[in-house]
Amino acid sequence: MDRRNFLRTAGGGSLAMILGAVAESVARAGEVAWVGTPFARDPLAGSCLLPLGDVERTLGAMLDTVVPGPTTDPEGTAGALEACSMNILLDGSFPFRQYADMFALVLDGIATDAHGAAFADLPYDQRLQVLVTAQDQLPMLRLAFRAIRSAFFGGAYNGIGLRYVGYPGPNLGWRHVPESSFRVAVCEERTQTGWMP
Amino acid sequence: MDDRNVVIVGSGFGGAIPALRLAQAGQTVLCLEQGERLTEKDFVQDWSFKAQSRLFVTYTSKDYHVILRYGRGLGGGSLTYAAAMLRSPSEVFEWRDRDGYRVWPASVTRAVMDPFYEKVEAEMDIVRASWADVPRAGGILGKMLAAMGKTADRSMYPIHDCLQCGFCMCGCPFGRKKHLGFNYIPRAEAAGAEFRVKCRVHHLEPDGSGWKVAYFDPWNVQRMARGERVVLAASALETPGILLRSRPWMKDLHPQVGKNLNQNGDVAFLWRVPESLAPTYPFMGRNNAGVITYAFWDEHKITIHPGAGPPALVAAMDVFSEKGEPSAPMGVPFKHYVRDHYATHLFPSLAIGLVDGEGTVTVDGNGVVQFDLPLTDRLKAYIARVAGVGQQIADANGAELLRTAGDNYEHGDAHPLATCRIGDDGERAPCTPDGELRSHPGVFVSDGASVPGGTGVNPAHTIAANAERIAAVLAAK
Ligand SMILES: Cc1cc2nc3c(=O)[nH]c(=O)nc-3n(C[C@H](O)[C@H](O)[C@H](O)COP(=O)(O)OP(=O)(O)OC[C@H]3O[C@@H](n4cnc5c(N)ncnc54)[C@H](O)[C@@H]3O)c2cc1C
Ligand code: SF4
Repeated sequence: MDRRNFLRTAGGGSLAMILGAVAESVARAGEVAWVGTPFARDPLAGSCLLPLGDVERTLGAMLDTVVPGPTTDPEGTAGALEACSMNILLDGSFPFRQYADMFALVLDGIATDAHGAAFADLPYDQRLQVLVTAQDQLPMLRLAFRAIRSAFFGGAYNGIGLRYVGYPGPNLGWRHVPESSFRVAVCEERTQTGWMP
Repeated sequence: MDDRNVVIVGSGFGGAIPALRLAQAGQTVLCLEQGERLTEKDFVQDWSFKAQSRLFVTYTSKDYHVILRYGRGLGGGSLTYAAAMLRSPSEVFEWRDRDGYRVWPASVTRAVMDPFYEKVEAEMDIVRASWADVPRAGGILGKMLAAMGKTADRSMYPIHDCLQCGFCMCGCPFGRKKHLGFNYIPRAEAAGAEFRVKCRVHHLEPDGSGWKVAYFDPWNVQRMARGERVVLAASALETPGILLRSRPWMKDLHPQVGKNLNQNGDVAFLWRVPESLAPTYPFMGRNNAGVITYAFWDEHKITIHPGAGPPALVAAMDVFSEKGEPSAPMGVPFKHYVRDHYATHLFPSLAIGLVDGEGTVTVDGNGVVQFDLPLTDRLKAYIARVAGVGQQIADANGAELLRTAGDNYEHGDAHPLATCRIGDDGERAPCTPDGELRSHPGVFVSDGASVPGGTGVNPAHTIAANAERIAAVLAAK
């Protein structure tokens, strides 16, 4: 099933499916109480931190390369910057803040050596190459890229990335949705009990 | 100063279980837990970092390659784990490391552990998932194995009437996952044990025939509690941390404290399934997706179970496709790939297996825990073996095993073990088979730190059964 079909049957969808599940769950003897959930946040409501000084351009370009936003993604959809993923680098509860300046220095250094221009001034393809090289030189960057990706796709600061991948979010359970399980044995089992002797 | 028969540090499996058994045996028990008392009303279906950092403590290895975390709160990891409760296969207890050393004590075999597993199953009401409880992602792995003539078994959980909402690792907001706050902890309280939350233990000091436990109370005031005995159950990351911070008072601390860190052989994969198996809907259903395969156990000593989960779980992995885009885990192709495949064609899986623990937990100058989990040749060879099995499954099904840089996959995350292990050899194992710290009698370790090696399957049941076993010794003293 491709994405369009997924959205038609499940996502597009997905609200109808969730509401359906809600209605079914509630219909089934009010089994569950609705839980208040922060997913109801306005997807644009998160407050994005911005770095101060010269590094802002470089780090902004780094984020826009890891998960490209409207100016870089030909489809024009929001990316890491719009999802406030910069917060990952600047919020003191993650191990990156003290390295943010170093990240910018390293990227500008590699960019200048390889392409003769500051990282933020390179076209997207060259920025991508620089990041691939840089993460091998500075393992912490690989971790930062993972964190930036998971902040975007995981909805760390707002729901932009979750919506982008069609993740339906909080729900009252998929149990009654036919596609949620095959419901019948799909293979032989090795044990009688569920665990090995 | 509080003075009890026993002071327990941490309220996960390793702490809550001795709390119940010792209180039942008539001992006075105080359990200090750094996290909050959380109930279903506090659990929110929210993967945001803010929500997750309330529930988990996360550490990154010194070389930034590996992440390890544990659940915090009254009930420890049981609040936010995915709740697969599996007995370890017999061979786990017979396992010998690279030096031929049997890591479990000779007196602890699967037959010896079985009655303790049974106790945990009875207290926590652990049941086998029905096929209707197996989420779609689990069914897909089952089908992939069936296509190869292999088996997969439905797993065991303390979950009843699961709604399959897919948020177990945020804490079950519907009260269907029966964490320790449903069983051991209230029963221990009823038997007289006291659990004190938001109390973070810093170190231990000897005090005559007993021990003083120094902790920060909820207002950050340093206090002391005294116990004739102390049981450490603060997780495989924090238990050695507490002991290492205690060195000024605990002279001659056993040199193996903090060594042998084992990540339980965890290796995470991402599979892209062919059209015939799509959609995967990895967000539907319990996060441990219902089945586990033992089909590769005999030959490789590994098990594999599918996961279900949020996009972050998928997108955070350093994966790329060998068959074209994305060629790196970033950029426009990666973004589009995740969008086009997450909900329909991808599902994550975790392999677990037996490999030597070669990591180390230390504390820095401020007493903060740090860890190292080097990618040794042995670990690399193990990961290659696991990847080979994953590839075999993919090839047999027209699926793709997404690759990672250097084919190192994600090793680590959720199952640290063995940093203060029990064992027969006094030089290699800081604790006796009964969990008592060899260098400091009266201090016991009963959590994942004391489990001496990989468990072959998800570890919580073995940690719990081992805690029952150690608690039985303590209760008899
Ligand atoms: C996301 C996730 C999913 C998982 N899913 C599964 C699964 O499906 N099946 C399975 O078998 N295992 C699973 N695990 C692993 C399982 O949760 C752990 O192995 C298990 O909880 C470890 O038990 P423990 O007693 O060693 O420590 P924990 O359960 O981690 O408990 C330690 C407790 O000590 C407290 N503590 C720590 N330091 C201090 C201090 N200084 N002072 C006071 N208190 C302190 C902590 O707050 C915590 O509450 C999962 C883990 C994670 C992170
Ligand atoms: S999937 Fe089931 S056990 Fe997990 S949080 Fe939802 S209802 Fe609870």
